[in-house]
Amino acid sequence: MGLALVTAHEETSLEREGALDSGVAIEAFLREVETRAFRIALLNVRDRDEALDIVQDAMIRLVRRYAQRPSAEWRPLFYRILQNRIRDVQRRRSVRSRVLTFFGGVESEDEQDPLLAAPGPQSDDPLAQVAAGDAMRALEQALLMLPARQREAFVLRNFEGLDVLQTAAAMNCTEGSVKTHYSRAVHRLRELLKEHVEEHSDE
Amino acid sequence: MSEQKMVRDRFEQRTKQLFDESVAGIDAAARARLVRARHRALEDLAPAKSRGWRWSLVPAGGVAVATVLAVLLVVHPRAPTETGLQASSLNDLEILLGEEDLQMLEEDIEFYGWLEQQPELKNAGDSVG
Repeated sequence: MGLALVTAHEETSLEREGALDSGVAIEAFLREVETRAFRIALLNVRDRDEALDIVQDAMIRLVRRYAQRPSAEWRPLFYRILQNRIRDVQRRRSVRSRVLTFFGGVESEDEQDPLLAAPGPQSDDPLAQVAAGDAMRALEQALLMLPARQREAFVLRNFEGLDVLQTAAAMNCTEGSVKTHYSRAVHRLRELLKEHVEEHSDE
Repeated sequence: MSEQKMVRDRFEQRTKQLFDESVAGIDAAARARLVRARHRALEDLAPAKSRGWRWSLVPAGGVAVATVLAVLLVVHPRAPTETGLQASSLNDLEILLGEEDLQMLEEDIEFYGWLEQQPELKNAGDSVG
């Protein structure tokens, strides 16, 4: 009986320690991805508050539903949730715009462009700041001109460094599709950004 | 390595660098909100608290707003040429006011279906994260 109690106590302690380890690990993961996820969301929805909400939702959902999954799955799951939330916001915004138009209202999305208000890259050289800021703005504009799936593939592969397999998991498609989307995205972006990015690539 | 490949690699490095720099430039206010958001998310790791009552109000609010908008759509018919738009707007209301995330409804089933077909990822262990 005493032994059984000790064993039960040890098991409880182990479970608690396991939960603690899991909590520490997932916090470290979230800390690592939160600013990058925010930048990706901002790039897509162009609204600071909505971007912050999207990231918060994605973090909450990951923790609530997938914290107990192996940590190797967190990254593709997190980005999948993030992309889904971005699509939801974009779809709702599109519908809201149609409803407002129907009622004769006007959209005020262009009143303030959060991208223009966002701070540029940090650098001591103002000229470099301007050049880099312009290049990033141009890159964002070009990304918005891509089909959504190409944009997702580029963001996940290039910005986030996910491998093809992880990107396929995040995008819910085959690895072949990821390669195709990514390759087309790079090709199109290079066409669109020749003067902004490639000119500075040699620096 | 071909010259074309090198140019492409340089381009990809440059875009990655631009993104990293823009992340580094995120202001303190946004960073503070992200930290709060993370802490809020981690609260869910604790045993379930009594947050049910708050969520129970959400569908009620959604239904109320949907009802008001549906009534407005019905009592404010526009020109006959807009009947198609009116019908589609009614359908759109479900999307606009839906509290459940549209894409996420199928998320779990699709993801784990996909995962089952990916032995490499399944056996990847816990090293990433």
